[in-house]
Amino acid sequence: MARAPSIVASRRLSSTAVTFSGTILVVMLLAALLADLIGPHDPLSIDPNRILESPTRTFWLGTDELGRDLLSRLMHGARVSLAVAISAVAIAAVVGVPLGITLAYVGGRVETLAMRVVDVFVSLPEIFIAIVVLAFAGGGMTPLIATIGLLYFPQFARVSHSMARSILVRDHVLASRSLGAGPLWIVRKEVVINMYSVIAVQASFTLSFAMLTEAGLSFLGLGVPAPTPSWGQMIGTLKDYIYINAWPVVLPSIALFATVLAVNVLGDCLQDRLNPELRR
Amino acid sequence: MTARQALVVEDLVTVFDTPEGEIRPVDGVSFTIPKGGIVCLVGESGSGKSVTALSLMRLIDPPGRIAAGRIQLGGIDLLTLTESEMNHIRGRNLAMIFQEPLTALNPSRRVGGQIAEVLRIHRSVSRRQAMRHAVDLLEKVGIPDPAVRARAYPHQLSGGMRQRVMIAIACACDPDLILADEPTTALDVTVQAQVLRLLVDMQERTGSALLFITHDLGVVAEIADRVVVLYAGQVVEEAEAARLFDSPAHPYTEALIASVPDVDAPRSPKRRLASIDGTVPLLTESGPGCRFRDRCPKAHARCQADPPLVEPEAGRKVRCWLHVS
Repeated sequence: MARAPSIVASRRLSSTAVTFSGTILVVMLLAALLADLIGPHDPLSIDPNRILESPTRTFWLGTDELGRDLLSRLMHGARVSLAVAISAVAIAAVVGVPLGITLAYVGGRVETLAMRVVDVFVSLPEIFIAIVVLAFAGGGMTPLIATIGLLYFPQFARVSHSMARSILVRDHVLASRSLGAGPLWIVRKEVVINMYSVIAVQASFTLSFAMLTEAGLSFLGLGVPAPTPSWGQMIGTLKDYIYINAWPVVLPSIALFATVLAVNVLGDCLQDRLNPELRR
Repeated sequence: MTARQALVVEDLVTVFDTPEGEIRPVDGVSFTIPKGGIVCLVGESGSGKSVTALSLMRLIDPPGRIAAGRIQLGGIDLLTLTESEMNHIRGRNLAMIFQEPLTALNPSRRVGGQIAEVLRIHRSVSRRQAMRHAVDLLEKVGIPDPAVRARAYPHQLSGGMRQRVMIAIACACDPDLILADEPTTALDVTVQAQVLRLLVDMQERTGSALLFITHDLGVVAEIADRVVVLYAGQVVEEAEAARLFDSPAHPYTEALIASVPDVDAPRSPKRRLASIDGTVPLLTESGPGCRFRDRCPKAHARCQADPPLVEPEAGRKVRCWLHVS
């Protein structure tokens, strides 16, 4: 009758964790959206006399190696990180989901062959591929988004493929066919509608991976070109000055860590909520 | 002759290609359903009832296929149609009701929308008109508060109500023929009778013919005009319902009827429920000869050869050597 105490405890913990993560994410989103309005300084204006400072009254979170305001740069960095990650996930989903569903619907040898190709894509080391592609395509927002998006579409393809396969053999699909529904109708009204939740969970996890990949590439100098700030790029630059002042490099690291963690926790929670077997 | 028939099935053969070879769940089935009539397709599990129904809808997926035969629905030969022509027939002229309404309804969509869907596929009506029609249909199938129920999801309805929704969907376009594949099997006994009555009511109201697939002989006795008994993919007997129950001609039909418990018979510890020993032969092991002979109390030498389907009296067909003179 009584629930196992460990389950109760973990559920209570998860609800605080969710609130906490939600707050972090909302703060980050607001910072990104309102960076121009509420950012205390111009993120690009340099001040040679006040480099690598710890927090002061003028610079609330200190300054970087060129005397630029770190708070403003973090806010603008959030904009780049989130924009790149969200756009990349959107591309991955828009390419991957229709591909997976189409292959599940077509079936036969085409399906087997194409899914093997997708598996090969999944097995490739992501950063390595991204470095190769970006080395040729050059830096900048668009190539970065496109590359990360293409890096993660196979995961969407695999998830939606296996989901679509399991839905297509259900009775309600047969019933819909018995009513004269054509392929497009069935895909839209019977298949896609029953996999929104799974896609949402996949998107949330891919979002955190995309953020880390973007940060990694920017760290290596393959992301958005300077002087536009992004978290990965800030970490990459400021790490060189860690012996002069460790403070500046810690800030973007915390921002990245907290955001990725928040996205993951929310993704986990979403999965639990949407999974009927775990609900209640 | 075909003018009075809603459905004519001739020598229908449906095969499945398996690694062990070809199997034939439906092996030369023929029967007819008159316009507005009710025919029951009876047989135990594995006799080919459901595959027959899906073949009639042409919804047999690979590795299965319809290998031979003719299916004529109101004079249209369904097996010659293209897939898109067939989609015009499905749902409009020919509708199907499934055994388990919970899985046959889309769990993520409101039931009203699912009823409206048929109308939107087959008739050029607006979303709003279709929804209004859907609510009317819900009322016709006896769902109280239809406007509210139309906004419910399948899991919010009871089993009986869900099956009523399925009936509403099937009847939405006034089809010529409704295939009902064990529509009451998944329901509580008390609800079964109500749903059965509704189905017959709706069938009378729309003037549709009804092919009712079941293994419940009680249901057969209640509603059927004619009965087709299926065994291992073949028709073993076809007759008017009353005559079939009065004087079953095939030993299998006889055994089936004998295995229905008789609640009026006097109780005694010696009385045992009659049963048929053994099971339906595996489709992979069917050699020549009568397929029922291993379980048949009247089997004899001639049963080693395939019995023909004969007509011992007008309006009755039997596949048994006992009736071949």
